[in-house]
Amino acid sequence: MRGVGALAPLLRAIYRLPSIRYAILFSLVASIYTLAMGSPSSSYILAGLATLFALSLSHADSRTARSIARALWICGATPGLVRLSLYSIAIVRCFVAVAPLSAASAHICAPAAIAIVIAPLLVSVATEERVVRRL
Amino acid sequence: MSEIVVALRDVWKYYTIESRPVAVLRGVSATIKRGEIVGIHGPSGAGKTTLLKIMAGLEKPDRGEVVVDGYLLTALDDKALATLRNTVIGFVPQDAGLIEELTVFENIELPLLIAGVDKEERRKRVEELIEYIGLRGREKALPKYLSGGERQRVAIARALANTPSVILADEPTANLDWANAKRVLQLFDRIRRDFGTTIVIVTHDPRVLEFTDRKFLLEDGLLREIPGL
Repeated sequence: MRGVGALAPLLRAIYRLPSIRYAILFSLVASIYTLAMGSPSSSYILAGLATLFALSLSHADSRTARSIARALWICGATPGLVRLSLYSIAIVRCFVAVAPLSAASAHICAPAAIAIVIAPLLVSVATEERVVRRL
Repeated sequence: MSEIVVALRDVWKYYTIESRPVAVLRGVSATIKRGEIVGIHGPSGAGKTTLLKIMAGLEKPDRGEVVVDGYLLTALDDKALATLRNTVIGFVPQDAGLIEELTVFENIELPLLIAGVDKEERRKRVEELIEYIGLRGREKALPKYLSGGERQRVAIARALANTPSVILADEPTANLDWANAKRVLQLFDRIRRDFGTTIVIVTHDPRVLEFTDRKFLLEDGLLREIPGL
């Protein structure tokens, strides 16, 4: 795909968002804790907090995602590349948000853990698709 | 100098307001020659931005034809329009439209990355452009540390990156004091002289029109040329 190299600075832009960095860190700690602890209620509480924390930060990230998509569109990115950039951001945001919950659920039911990751991803992709259509 | 670069032929655009179609552009026709600086003036809500976005291939007209540098925009699909926006048309949005998390260098580099230009050539071109807009030494600055005028100049450099035939600027001086606005307008004049680029500026500020070769007034969805405004 033409211009796929443009994704590298975009991923850099995503990583430069402080909210994403904090969320990744918190998500990582929470995931490791829940995996190490088995599945006591404290791990669920921590996982839930991590998810809420990541979601509370997602508004700013969502605004950034839209500004990135707009800049790409103006600069001549194909609809496919704009889509790919929005999906990349959505995947990072979703994964960060649900990773601890997924880790906590993995002890009880592996399919549930997978569903916890997949379901919000599909919702996000559908949301971003609306953004692409509005551009 | 007399080659026509932009041609609008009976362009209509409707928006749906309260479930009713309202014509924002009502049969707009005009031609713009290579190397001209053209100003489109009009009151707020007259459809200036819509017209500019149609010229940029960012929006599609409901009726009529738009030709830019020989390409009939209204006949192209989204992918072809994107390629044209990358190579033939430079667009400068009112708010500059920069990515806040990327540096000045990275923002200007974006159209070159999309065009698939190799790394060394990209670096050379971006450095030239940064020098050209007078922001040498600010390559690594994030947009939030730039003044309004500097942000606009970065947006102009980004629009210029692939040496387009046409630069379309949407209210490029709207958020600037007059001293900075003049610098931006002088930069457009320099671009026209150095690269032969056609520049279309949409503005509500009549002072901006002093810097243009031809002036148009967009009112009630109709565009007419005003020779002596």
